[in-house]
Amino acid sequence: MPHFAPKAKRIIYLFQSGGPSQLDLFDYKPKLNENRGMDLPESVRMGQRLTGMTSGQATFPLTGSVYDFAQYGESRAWLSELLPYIGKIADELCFVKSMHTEAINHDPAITFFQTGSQLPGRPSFGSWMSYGLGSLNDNLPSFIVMLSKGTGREVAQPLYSRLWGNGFLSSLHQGVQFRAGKDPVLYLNNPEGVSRLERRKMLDYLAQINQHHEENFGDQQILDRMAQYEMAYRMQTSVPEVMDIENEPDAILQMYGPDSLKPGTYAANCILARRLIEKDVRFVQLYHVGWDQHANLPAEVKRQAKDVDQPTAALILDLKQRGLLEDTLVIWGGEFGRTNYSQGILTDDDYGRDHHPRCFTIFMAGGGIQPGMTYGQTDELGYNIVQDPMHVHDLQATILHLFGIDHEQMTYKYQGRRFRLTDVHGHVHHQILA
Amino acid sequence: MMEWLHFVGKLHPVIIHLPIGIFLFTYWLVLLSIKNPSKYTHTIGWGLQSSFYTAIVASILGYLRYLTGDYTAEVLNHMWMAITTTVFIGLLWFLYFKKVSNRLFNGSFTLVVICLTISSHLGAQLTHGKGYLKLPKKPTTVSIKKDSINLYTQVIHSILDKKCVSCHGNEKQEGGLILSSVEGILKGGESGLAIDFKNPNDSRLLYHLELPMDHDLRMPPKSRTQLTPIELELIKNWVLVGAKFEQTMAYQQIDRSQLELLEEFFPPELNPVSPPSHKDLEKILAHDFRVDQYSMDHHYVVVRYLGDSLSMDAFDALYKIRKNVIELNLNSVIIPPSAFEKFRNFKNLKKLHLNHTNIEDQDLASLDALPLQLVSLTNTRITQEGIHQLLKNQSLEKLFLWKTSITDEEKSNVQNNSVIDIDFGVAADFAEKQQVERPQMVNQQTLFVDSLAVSFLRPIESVDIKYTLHGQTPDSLSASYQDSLWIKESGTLKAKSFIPGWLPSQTTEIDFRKVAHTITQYQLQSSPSGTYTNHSNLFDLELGSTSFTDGYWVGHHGDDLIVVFDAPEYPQFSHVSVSSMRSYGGWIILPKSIKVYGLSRDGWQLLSELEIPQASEKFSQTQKEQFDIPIKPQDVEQYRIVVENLGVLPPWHDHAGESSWVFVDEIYLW
Repeated sequence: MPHFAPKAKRIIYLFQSGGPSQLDLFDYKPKLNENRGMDLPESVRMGQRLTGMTSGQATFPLTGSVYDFAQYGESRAWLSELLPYIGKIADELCFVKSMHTEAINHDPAITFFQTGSQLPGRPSFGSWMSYGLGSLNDNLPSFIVMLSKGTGREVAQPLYSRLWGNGFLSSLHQGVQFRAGKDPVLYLNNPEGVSRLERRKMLDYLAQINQHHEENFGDQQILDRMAQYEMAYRMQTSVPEVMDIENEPDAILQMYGPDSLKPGTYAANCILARRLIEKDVRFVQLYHVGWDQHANLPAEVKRQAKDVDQPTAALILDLKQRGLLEDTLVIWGGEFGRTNYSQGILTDDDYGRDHHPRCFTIFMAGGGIQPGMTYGQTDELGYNIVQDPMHVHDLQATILHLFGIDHEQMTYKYQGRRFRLTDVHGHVHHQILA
Repeated sequence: MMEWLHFVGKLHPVIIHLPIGIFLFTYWLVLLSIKNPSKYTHTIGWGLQSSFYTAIVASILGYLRYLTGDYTAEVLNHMWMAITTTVFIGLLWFLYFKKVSNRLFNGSFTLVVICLTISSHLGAQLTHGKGYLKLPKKPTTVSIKKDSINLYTQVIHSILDKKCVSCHGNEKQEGGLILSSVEGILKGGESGLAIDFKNPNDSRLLYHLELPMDHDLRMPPKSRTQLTPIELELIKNWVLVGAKFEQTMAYQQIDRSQLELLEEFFPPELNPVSPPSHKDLEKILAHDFRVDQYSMDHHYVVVRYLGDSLSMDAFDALYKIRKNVIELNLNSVIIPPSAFEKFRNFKNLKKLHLNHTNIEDQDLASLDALPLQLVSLTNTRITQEGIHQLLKNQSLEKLFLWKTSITDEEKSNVQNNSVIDIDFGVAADFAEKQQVERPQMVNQQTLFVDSLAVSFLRPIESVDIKYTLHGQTPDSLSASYQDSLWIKESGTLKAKSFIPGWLPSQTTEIDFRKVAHTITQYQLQSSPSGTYTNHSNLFDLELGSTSFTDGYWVGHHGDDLIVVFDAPEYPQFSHVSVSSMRSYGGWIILPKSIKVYGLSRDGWQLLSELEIPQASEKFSQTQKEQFDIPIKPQDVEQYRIVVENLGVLPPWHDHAGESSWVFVDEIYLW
């Protein structure tokens, strides 16, 4: 339950897995274009570590984006030409250009964003929310995850289901993955020949046995499991209802773009996310993979951007026109950024970028976030942050604040110590709150 | 010299804890000795001696601290009290030597402990401020009257009082500065005026507040509670416009950004309400409402109705806790018309969701006097008249009117006549006319022996998939795909999706090939490498994808692929086809040649051969390629197919000279 009056009740986290290039999408650096090909000055890098993928490079040729940038909306937010639809809704968004993290490779970095620790094992963000705030709809899980494959990179970094795991929290709080197609939740449907009534009888009998078991052992996990069975039973009817986009009006489908007709795409998942939010699901997380452009960046990032541009903008507007953006927070962002120098050979129209944890951009909308603003600033070569740095723990603390949670007070005692999502760190950045 | 003495004086608050500690510990021993005399006698003597000496040191340091002049006359009370206590401790020590009666000794000791407590308390008040030990009491909320505000008395004073006055107040005046009164602020401190009225920007007050956290002169110091960004901003704005102490401003005079700051500064006015009774709550829950507590610091609730149609009974159950309802969600619910009238009494309702409901214009009248901030009326029959009525409510901030009965002309009229945020839905021109995605087959099989059922994914019912089988591009007059479609001959299927209101899709083209025979008996005479050895896939009529790891592909590293199979009983085929791929990163190149041999009485004879031109430079695209080798009907017993591997990667490859891979996913006859 919130400690104090919440601004947001629900969240859609559009996770862009792989590390989108902030320099080709959001963070406009004309100076990089002017100094194209110049070696990254030591005065900028200051001995900071690089990944093993480029640390052996003889030179680090700086490169700006091949794509043009322009300012959009009354807020004059800079955006690349790859995001025309995001440009149309720039005034709804709060761009944070000064995100930074400690992790340097995908899995630790995503794990850090999701659990507050680079090492696996802690509960996921959505699980913490479910634990701290509870569910708003008893017929659906409070934490739902959907994945989509980017068109930018064929072979993308994999994701692990532990990223939406409950860690040491009760299994009731784990994220449930909804898949595209006829069978969105695996093993949810009754086996062939088993009716709903028979299922009910079986569950009742099972509950009796488990009840007996629980009385003897007093193990909380038995109760959790019983609750899970019941949730699955209710989901047998609630899930097909929410996943059926048949009745979505044509104008809405057009708004989200042609991909919205293809199950399993980012666009289709965006529509489902909105439908889940309408049903008061607390935490919906989309993962869109394929943002890891070590090479062939211009071509790949263009396709990736096209995947997400229109659906993301449509989702935000669609939430808005339904009055849902008021108390739904939307976050778009990856696990880290990309370097201002080229990984591999820099040619006239091609380059790659390595992982860069020292600065990257995310954007947010709705749910008590200040719309139409850009927060934080990087240096003119886009390598370090010069103003208002926002650490991953800061972001987590700020999001929790929007939900009325004091991040220092939401704890869970496990193995003799109290754990927090923000570990022992994190500051709320009041400047970006509406 | 003086500076050094002042510095040493600052150690007083540290050293002072030595005599206090030792003396109180000694007192503890004295109390223990009441039951068990003479056990601690020696230690008590030692304790009195130590506390006396350290008390003298602490007194001297305290005097030096007094000489800095940071304190008002109030410090004198503490000083004399402390010196007296020190002398008393000395006297106690004297009594100890005199071996006076236990009664006298213990009594005097207790008196001195009381003296010590008083003087310590006085000292602590100097350091921590007078309010430090106050018992917690209910916070008094400053309420801003909606019409006017005095920035100094209502805002600035309370910020200074909370965050600054414990060091810059009447009792303790660090740097000679008093921030608890108007006179003090105007007078400034030792280093100058606090507020520079000529150049407000250069005011020392702001200077200290804005120094970096690690700076020595930063205020409040690093270790103390900091100003929130909003507090800092408010002080700044107040100083910059000339630090007006008396001015009272009407709300209309304050600019928007300043108003926002003020709203943040004053906690939102939520009238405390008593919690709803359990009985009421249970009744409401039984009526299919969902009730969530708004936050832990209030007894407000957020309510949503889960059913489709609300009965008056259910509504009346909710009505019992109307005072507690801060947000009500009745989206997609049929509401009894008589319920609307009763909304009037939900006196604390801030957010009301009535999307997809039967609300009518006249029902809005009952919302007039509610403290509503947000009303959403999407997909209702509300018209312009109703909205004009609703807009009379002064507290409204946001209104959602998508899909209402308001015409486009009226929309701009409504928006122009109102200062609040009104959402009429996403603009029609947000998305250009979209093109439908091209049709996609459910299964990917394109090779068949007899016939093949093809079905397309149909993401939504309204999609119309048109197709042709003879090469023409499908148009609106072509055949419509229904549930499935049978392919019986080799040929090209072209299909296109149509949805009314969308641009037609691009054309999907799929080549189908009718295969003459399936090969079930064969002998692979070469040995595939790595994990690409599943050779039963070579004849299963299923083609692989462009990913060579997908399980359909058989790979040979450096070697040729050689397969032998019996000639079919009825040799009715004219081609042998081999499907292969190339991938630069996978070190996979196309075969050098494909040779087909036949075994007759004369032994193996080359029947047909296809030389495949190799790439002459780097390529980036991973590509599948199919090779057809024409064959004349022959009277042979067995066939042997050799897919020749170049053996090593050609010179243009980054890894030239390494063994090359050849991949094949299918071999078939047609």
